[in-house]
Amino acid sequence: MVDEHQNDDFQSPDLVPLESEAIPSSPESEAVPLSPESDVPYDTIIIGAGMSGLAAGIRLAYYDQRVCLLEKHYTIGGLNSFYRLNKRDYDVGLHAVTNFTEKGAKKGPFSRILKQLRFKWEDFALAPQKYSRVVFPSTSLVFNNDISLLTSEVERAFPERRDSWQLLLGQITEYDDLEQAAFEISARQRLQELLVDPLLINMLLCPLMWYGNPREHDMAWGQFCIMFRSIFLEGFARPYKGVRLILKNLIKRFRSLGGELKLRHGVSRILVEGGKAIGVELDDGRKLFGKRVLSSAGHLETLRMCEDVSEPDPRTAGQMSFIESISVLDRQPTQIGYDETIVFFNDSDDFCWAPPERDLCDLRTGVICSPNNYAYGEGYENLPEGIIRLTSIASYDRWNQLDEPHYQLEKMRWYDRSIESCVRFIPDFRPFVVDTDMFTPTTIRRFTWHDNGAVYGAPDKKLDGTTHLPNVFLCGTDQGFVGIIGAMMSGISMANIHCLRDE
Amino acid sequence: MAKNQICFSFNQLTKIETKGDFADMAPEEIRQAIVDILSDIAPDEDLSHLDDSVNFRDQMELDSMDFLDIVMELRKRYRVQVPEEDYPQLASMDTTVSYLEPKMANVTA
Repeated sequence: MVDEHQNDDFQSPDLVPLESEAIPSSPESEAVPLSPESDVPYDTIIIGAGMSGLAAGIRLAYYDQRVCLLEKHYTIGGLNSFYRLNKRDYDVGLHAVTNFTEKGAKKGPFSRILKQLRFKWEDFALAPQKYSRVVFPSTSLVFNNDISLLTSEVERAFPERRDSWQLLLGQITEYDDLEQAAFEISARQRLQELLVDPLLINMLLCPLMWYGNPREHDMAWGQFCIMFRSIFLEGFARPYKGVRLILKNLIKRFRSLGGELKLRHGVSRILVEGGKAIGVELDDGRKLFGKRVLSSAGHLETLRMCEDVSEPDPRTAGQMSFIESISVLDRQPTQIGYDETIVFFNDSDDFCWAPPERDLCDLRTGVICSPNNYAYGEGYENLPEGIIRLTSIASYDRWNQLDEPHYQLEKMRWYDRSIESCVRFIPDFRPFVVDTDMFTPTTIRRFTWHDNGAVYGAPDKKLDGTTHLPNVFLCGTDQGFVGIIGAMMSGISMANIHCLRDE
Repeated sequence: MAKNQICFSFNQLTKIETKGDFADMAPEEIRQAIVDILSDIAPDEDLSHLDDSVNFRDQMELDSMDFLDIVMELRKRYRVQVPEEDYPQLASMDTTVSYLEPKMANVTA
């Protein structure tokens, strides 16, 4: 296994390099002899084989572009990748696919993606959540994929906010996705005006910030609306086989259309000549030429690669990163009374969304998810083992400063502490744990290559995907959409707008 | 030497996958070609009751992304270029067919 990092979580001997398992082998071998056409530039070079790069690649290859998809890591998926450890399969990013709509729905990002990538609804095999909960010390709100449940919960817990809740729903439905000015408004301020009640505001912000807010403390109104729709108005779902199934579909399609995927091909520089990108230089010094570059590496990360840019301001990098504590149980979570799909908890009425001030992690808030608790439906047994995943806020800098022995030690300590924090809100599952794993901000950095292991990228989004160069474009988290569906949507729309029209 | 390692996709280079062009196509055949494209773009739509005089948008769920797809599919399948200013011509089946007929003549010439 090739990995240059000291804090390598995945050094277990039975870790399978994932290409062999999930990525069907490429029809063309790696060592094709030089042909005279190899100087012909690619139509589009895509940096990063995460959800956005893969979706963009499919669009472009489908319309006969010569596309090269470059991935620094040894596998695809980026944040939404997966790994195998101690003979068990784990997902990295996926708790839930958001934006779930039922088969036959014609509106919403999920049906758009299916159409744009020419997939059938069944290809993603999404099973909806059972129900989820936002829990604060004094109140909890239950919700599922039908907004009327959350509405009745808000009316029960906050009866005096019944009318303003309806106003909020109206504003969210009307919000226009791509307008930068409205996007930037403070969500806290807008919610303060509308809902007034600080507890209700925090209880709504908690899940939406957890699943997609790159900013500290506050959230952009646009991000709030997009997240609200994707979680409360559409909903959570998961394929039985996890993120592997989605990635497998995407890479198979990309390759069948003639797209080229190159793993372990990091880009060190974007080559610029006469005010335009002409190609990229790889980490090993080789050069690839292309008419345009579409980068999911992140805004700042992409600018830093451009030859013509001196060091950009590092303060624009995101800071929100997490640890994930994974527990494998000897029984189904429902057998110990844990029925929810996802629980967002916070241990006081104040909700603080910021990197930890003093420690490696901040355990006051967290997200608990069990992949067992989806409605997989007939024909599926439940997952063979119980799994409970817990995400907590963590500091990239502090985790990154640890030397290897301390890193391993802190992982064990913070696993115990984080679980101790979360069993305040769900049944104590610790007696039933048979295996554990944890990943940290440095792991996330390795999978995503985003500065600081920032899960949701930079606080400032670049909705139109443009850069200072006329033929270098952004897609992925820093363009504005997050989550699996959001990322694919980002890749598709940036491919459509910037890479297909001028052909 | 470095260039030797740059792997290359031959099927991409040799892919000339046209399903024909509009030369010799009667209006009914052009109509069928559009129906085929629409059924690929919107597989869940029932196209058997399509009213040719009514805008696609008023009888199907088509957004701007789908219209781009109609244009792109025409290019991919029939090598017909539709410039952006002509997109409104693709509003309904009738306007689309009459817009594409002369294009067909151009292809023939």
